[in-house]
Amino acid sequence: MEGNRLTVTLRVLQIHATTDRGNFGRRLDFRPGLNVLRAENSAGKSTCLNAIAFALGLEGAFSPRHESPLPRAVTEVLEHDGKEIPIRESHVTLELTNARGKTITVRRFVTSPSVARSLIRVWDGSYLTGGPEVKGPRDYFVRMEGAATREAGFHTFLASFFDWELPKVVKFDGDEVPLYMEYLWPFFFVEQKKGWSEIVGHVPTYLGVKEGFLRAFEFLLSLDTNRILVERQRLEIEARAIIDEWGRQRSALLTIARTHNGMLKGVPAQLGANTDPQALDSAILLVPEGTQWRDMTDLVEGLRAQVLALREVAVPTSGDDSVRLNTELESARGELAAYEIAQREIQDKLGAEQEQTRALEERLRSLREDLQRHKDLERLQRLGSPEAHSLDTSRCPVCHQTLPETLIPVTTLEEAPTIMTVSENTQFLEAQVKSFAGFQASSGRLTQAYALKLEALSRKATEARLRIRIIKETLTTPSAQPSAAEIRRRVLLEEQIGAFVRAKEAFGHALTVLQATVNRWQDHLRRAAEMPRSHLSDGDEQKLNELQQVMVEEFREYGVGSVPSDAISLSHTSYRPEYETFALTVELSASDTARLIWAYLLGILEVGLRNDTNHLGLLLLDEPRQHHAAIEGYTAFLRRAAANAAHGAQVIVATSEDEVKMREVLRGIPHTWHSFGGRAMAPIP
Amino acid sequence: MTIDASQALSGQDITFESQTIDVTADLRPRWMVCAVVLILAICGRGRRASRQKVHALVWSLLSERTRRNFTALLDGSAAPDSLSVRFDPTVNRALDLSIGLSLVRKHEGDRVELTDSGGALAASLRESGILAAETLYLEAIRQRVSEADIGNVLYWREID
Repeated sequence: MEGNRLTVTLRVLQIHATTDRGNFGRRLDFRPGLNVLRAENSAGKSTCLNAIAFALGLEGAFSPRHESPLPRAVTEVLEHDGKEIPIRESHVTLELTNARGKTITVRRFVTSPSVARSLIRVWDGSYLTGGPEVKGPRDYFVRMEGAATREAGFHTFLASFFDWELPKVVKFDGDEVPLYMEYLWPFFFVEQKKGWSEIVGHVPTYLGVKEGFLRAFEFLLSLDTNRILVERQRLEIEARAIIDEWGRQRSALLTIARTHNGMLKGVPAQLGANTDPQALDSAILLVPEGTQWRDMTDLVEGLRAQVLALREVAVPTSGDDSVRLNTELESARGELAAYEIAQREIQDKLGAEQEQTRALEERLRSLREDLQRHKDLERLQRLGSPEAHSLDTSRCPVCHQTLPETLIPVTTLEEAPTIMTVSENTQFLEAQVKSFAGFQASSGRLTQAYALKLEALSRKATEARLRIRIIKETLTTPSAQPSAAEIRRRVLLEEQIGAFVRAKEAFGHALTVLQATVNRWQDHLRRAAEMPRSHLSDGDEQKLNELQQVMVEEFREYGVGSVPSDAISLSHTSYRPEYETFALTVELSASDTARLIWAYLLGILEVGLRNDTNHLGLLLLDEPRQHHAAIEGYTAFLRRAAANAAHGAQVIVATSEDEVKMREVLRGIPHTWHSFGGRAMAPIP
Repeated sequence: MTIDASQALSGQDITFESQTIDVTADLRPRWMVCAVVLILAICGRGRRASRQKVHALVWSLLSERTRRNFTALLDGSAAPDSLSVRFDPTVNRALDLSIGLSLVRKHEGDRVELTDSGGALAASLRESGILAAETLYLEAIRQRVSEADIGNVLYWREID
């Protein structure tokens, strides 16, 4: 494993304020490895670290408010020599270098009469240290919509400076956005006031990214899990698209069927996990013939045979044809009568079935209303209010006799039938609703089938009437004329065949399209089955196990506390430390929490640097020795932090500890020391 | 195939098991008490109403059809003889029970009044959305069901 190549190093931080009494400010020159900044608590050491977050436009990681995280001493009024001096203009400048050795300088205005706080000015090169080839400046915007997506957005720029390809994540409102950098910043920065009470507790959930902490962790350590997640989401979208298309194509088939009063059979209504490639093999189109349903293909064959037979014979004249015509007239009349009888029969059945449907609807309505009332009674039982409790109707409030669960008078209680309890009755009603809904559905289907048949019969009857009319006409025309009836019959047959053939073609074509969809579905199912069960790949498991090992090791190194270090593990689902599989924050003492935070974040940094990940190798801690954790542990932590300089890490610790004590703690540990007595905002020439 | 009943049954014990029977919710005391309490709270004048008003309103809220028809009657869009409002002895029992439970008390004549605990129950029901459909209906008609309105509905034949 080549290891991380994305480390970033902070070079210079400058806070500058212009006043009527001259310039004030502070400059800190950082180096790689461990940096310790020592100053009094209220002197502004936190201001320095917070200024770094501010310069990078990341103060939104800690608060949704748009006030600056910097104190009055930088924004409005500073104190010097016992006097209060108003600030005319102030800004923060930060120089930083990325892994490719490129340096940029970013400046953001805190107070300015002319420049907005949402603007960040960027120079290529070291503008502060006066390096060679300084180019720019260019302006970007931050903490407004688009800061992470538009080209002029500062976080778009910063992400590319860090060589970060931020993954697309889903927000609660459904939008897809690149993972906001505010979710990543808490892994690099622990602020003094709220950062030490929980282990990365401060996730900026107000930004609305679903499971933002998880996505941030996965990105930081380059877990494959995000890729798997994205693939899964893509598969879901694909599934929906295929199912939608199936629905549309099937509707098209139904339309073809309807134009011939036909029924579709053998085409599944929905695609499912069990749909096999042969799902469409038995698909046919049925058309009614009298009271029967016949496969349209067979019907066409029959009609074709008729036409062929007719073609052998010349069209007879009406005179020649009169005998045949009379026979035909008889049979046509007979047919018409039969159709009319069949129509009346089906009309009756249809009427009866419609009546049945209406009755069922009424019953269902009343059942559903009773079900709702019983559910209301169940909810009443679960209501905790005292009023609901006083509603005890099982005993007479006066004589305390048992009362039946019905308002209908019963003669003696022995004769009273056993009445269902409310929940029994609810279940009973649910079963009734289900049954009746089933009856209603099948009644509906039957009604539909009758209606279709009726339509078909009605068309046939009209046809027959027309034929009768034409035969009659033919019989009264001069006998030398060709039989119009016969001609018509032949033409009609051909037309009918034509219509069926077209339908058959359309049907065949639609089936081909559907088959293609079935094949696509099969392919989709196969790919879905190949997806890994868990959301973590083998490489991911390895990294997480490594992190657990490192974290537990460090926790032990930093001293013994209220929990045994070997009971601590790293959850593979929440990515947070757990104590015997329970979330930790309740169990640990405050100083243990601090030590665990050191172990967790430094552990992530170490694993991040040892593997090919997106970690920046940066860690900023404001007052890590909270609650007076044991000094030996603190020393061990600082030593370990410094040791990571070999891999390109930069750890900046701000502390208000006694200077002499700190110097002693740091003896033998390679570090860069910064300190200032007095205030951070001191006069500068 | 013929079966000789005496042969089939001889030597066997026949047992009867009582089946529990279902009962509609509006016949359950607790439900009806809730309905009565809501009627008094929403449609009562100062949480009071005559017994006949309670009967009429209970009858009207029992099904979607009766709710619709009763509303039409109150609107004047249905003829007064299109409906037959019924008096229901079960409502009397529910009223007695409500009085026994101190949710309702008797008032002068044949009137009944909601007590404070009855009012609290009504508020609790409305807040948790129990008997929501009935509540919505009562709120919709509350301006049109004074004692005089109810009298007109019930005794229209006697009005000239």
